[in-house]
Amino acid sequence: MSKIVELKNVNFSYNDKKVLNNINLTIDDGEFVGLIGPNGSGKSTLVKIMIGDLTPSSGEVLINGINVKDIKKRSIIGYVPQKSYSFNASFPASVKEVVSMGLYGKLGLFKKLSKDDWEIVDNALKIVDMIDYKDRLIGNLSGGQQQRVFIARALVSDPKILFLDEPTTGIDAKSEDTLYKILDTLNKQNKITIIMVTHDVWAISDKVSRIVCMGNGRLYDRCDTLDFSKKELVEIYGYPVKLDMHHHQNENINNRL
Amino acid sequence: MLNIFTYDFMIRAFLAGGFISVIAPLVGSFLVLRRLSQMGDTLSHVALAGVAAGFLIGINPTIGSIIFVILSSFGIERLRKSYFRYSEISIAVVMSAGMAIAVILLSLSSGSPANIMNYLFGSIISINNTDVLLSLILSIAVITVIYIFYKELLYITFDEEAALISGIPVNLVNIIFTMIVAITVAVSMRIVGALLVSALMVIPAAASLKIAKNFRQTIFYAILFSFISVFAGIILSFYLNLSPGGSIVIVSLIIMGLASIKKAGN
Repeated sequence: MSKIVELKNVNFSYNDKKVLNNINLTIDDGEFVGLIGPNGSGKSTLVKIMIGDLTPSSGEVLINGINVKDIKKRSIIGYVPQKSYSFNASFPASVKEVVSMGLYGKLGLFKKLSKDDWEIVDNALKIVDMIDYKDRLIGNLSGGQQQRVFIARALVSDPKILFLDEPTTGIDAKSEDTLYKILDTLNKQNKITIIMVTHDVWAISDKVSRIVCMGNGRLYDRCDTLDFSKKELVEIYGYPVKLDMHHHQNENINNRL
Repeated sequence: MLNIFTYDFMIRAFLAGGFISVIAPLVGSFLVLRRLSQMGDTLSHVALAGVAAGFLIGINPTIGSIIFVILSSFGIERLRKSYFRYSEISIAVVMSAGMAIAVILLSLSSGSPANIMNYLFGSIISINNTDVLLSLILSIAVITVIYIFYKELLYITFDEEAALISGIPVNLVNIIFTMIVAITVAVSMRIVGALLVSALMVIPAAASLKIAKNFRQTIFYAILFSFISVFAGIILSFYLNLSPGGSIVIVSLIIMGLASIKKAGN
């Protein structure tokens, strides 16, 4: 199998705070990787580095062997951002229009959508089972349905790798099930490599082909969820920090008394 | 009853008003969705500073106002980025800055205030042939640019971050759009007045948001409502002897009310 994503000694700091600490990671073509870790562990930052949205302070990010910043065909990278992070839910766009946006970058300036392009939009909506909603306003859909629309938007440019940032946030269990089925199809039938960020350790262990753990800006190589020792979990989830804070609070109270 | 079309000045009002009624909501729809509804107002205040500067240093005040408006719209764009979630801060700050500079420059210059007001605020019934031609050229330019960058503008307006990640030249498109807005405001306020320009940028788009089923319809209805407002407003003002600018704005508000009722009825 060929390497599709390669991170070599990647470091990233934000306002003097080290967010990523010497990350090394190789993902093979066709894998379905679950990137797990608590909030604030640097998962979203790592994804933004992998898609080229952020530039590492040092180190290298290669996609198909090419530095992510030098990739001409950006359409090979599909990205589904964290839900409602940057989009206005009452925006007057139809589902069809939102999905078609995924083609704009690939088409380039001055080009209009052709009939074939609209067919690609329809096909992507069929894959995520949202074709019946194509003329609805995006704001009138449930969270799970919106998430599927955003997956369709990422699919229209025919990506080889799909990054999803916390796709199950704010959606119900049934929608979550549908979502995993769609991702499974994309991975196995459409041969798309998937990298999915989540803070839900237990839900994804049987869905993905590999789990990578993150805690405090570091990657933990061997962490099959079943093998998590208490010590490792503490390390990844940073509980000692919490215990320390507790301790300090007590001290303060004692001081005041 | 007097026939409205026997008067040349009314025909000119219909023509220039018709052109501007198309482009104001066209750029206005994007502004409203970017939470920059007050853009028209702000830029017309800045234009005041430009006119004052023109008088002071002895250049054509219209050119002065266009330069000021373009510069300040880039200032707004910068501020909008640094206050990403509070776009409205950028326009409020620039409006204050524009007013402050205008007041200072006016106190320094010797031009009479009435003269300055003539340069600044046009009226839809005092339009000359040059104005009609100017509004036609402006309209063709604005429609062409929006047509060319329609899909990029839609994506950036919907989700600027996602647009950037997908490889859209966001900065370039933003600069072009900012220039288009600045020129639209600076030129059309001279022809039809600041009140009318900023109203036509926002009110028809607000009405359209209530009933549109997609983005294309949002733009289409906004232009339709604006067009109807201008024509109905001019006719009403002529026969009832009212202020034309005010009448147009009132008609657009009535349409907005009807759109809200229709939405509530659905």
